[in-house]
Amino acid sequence: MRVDRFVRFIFALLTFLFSALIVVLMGFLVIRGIGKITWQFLSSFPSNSMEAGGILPAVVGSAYFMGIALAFAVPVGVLGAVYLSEYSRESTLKTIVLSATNILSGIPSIVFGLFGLALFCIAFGFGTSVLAGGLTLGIMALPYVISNTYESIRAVPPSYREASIALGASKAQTTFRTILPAAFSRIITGVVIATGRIVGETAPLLFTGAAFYITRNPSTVFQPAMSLPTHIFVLSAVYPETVVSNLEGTISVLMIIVLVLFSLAGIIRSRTRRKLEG
Amino acid sequence: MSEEKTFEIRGLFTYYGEQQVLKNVNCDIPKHRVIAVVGPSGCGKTTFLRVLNRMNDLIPSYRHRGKVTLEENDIFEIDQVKLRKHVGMVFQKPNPFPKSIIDNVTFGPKIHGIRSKQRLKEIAERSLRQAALWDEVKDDPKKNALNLSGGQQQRLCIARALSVEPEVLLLDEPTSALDPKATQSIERLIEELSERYTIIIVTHNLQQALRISDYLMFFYLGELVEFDTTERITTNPRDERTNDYLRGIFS
Repeated sequence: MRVDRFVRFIFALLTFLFSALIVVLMGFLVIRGIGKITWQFLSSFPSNSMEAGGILPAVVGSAYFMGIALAFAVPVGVLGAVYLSEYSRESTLKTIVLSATNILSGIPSIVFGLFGLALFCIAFGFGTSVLAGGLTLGIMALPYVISNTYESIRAVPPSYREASIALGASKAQTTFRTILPAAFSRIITGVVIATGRIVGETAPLLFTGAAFYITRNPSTVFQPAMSLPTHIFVLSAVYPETVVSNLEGTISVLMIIVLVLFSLAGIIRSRTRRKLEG
Repeated sequence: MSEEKTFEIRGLFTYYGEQQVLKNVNCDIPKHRVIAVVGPSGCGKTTFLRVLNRMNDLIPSYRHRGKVTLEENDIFEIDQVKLRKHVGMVFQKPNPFPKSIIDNVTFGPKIHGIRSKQRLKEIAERSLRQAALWDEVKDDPKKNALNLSGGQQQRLCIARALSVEPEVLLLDEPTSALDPKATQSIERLIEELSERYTIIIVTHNLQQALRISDYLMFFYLGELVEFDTTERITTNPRDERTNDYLRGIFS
């Protein structure tokens, strides 16, 4: 029994250290910059060669990149997962596709960046643009959306499917009117988490869509845009210490966005669980 | 049996992969009666039930041989979707959709193309009344079906099956997950419904079968051993195995 107590102590200690690390890291990053976040900071363009002013174009740019990434990854990912779970037969091909999905989510983001550069910027001729950057991020989000949607569909009780089919619903009706609505909030949770994962991605945007410094928001998707993570990269890599307060402010904004997204996912998840369990 | 017929089954064999389940089943199912399908576990009674609305076809390894007709239409030739509209099914465990009560009973009509709000409302009310659930839910039909009690959920599933106006209702051990009181209300409901519908019910509970059925179908090891009026079988079983089953020797 002394061994048990010892093991328990070790686990408790590790859990505590780990949680403390996260809290300190988050707290440090958010608190350092939170004082910097004002309406002025969020709504104005950088000025004085980015040593002063705000981060409006980075916020707007990130929103554009996310919009395009999700507009690509959600329909393709959800329909792909529907195909895999409902329509494709059990086959080697399906196993390969599913494991490829998992492997894809392990590929370093810089590789996605170069892939996006080669495919979207050069081969498709989009140049360095919101469109190319957004699609590159969309491809990064895709494996996560597919595997999460696939799992969400699998988690729908088979009895719903049976009930629907026994009422004379066709396969498509069963899929779109019974299975997807029942899996809806899990799928959305996955999309929100995927957004949280890619909103902070820097490397995929560096070559494909990121502008260093712009004084006007892009008016078409074929222009480059600033984004929060690449702005952080630029401020920390290129500039001297004169921009440190803007840097901290930007980091805080990004951290808060990520925290909000993950909390939102958690809230949706627990609400659904309560609803499904009556 | 000189009654009007619904299903006619000739030389029916079924298989899951290599395993044979039903062996040469031949019978005519009378119309607007309650037919109880009984037999020990694994005798093929649920498989038999699921032949009738082709739910077995969802299982990849399933195969069958033989002929089944419904009102003289070969059920393996007509569209599955159409067949299932005529042959409703209620499952062992209540399985309402995680939607409102009203959405549960309008799902079927909607997928079959009924759009008019007024019409859907009428169907919902009629089905819920037929399933003896209307009085309990009429004040709050938007309530989530999962918040109903088990017995209410099962009656909702019956209402849902009735909403597409089937001719036959297949019930797969519909009361096995319910308490005695809820079971009693379902049994009463089955009796009422048999005036307008042919009801084929699989049950593990022999007492229940005897209480509610007009006809008894006894399966043993995939074979339809005996099929006749419940009265005749209980007073004078022809086969020794039926007799043993009725006396509770295997169950």
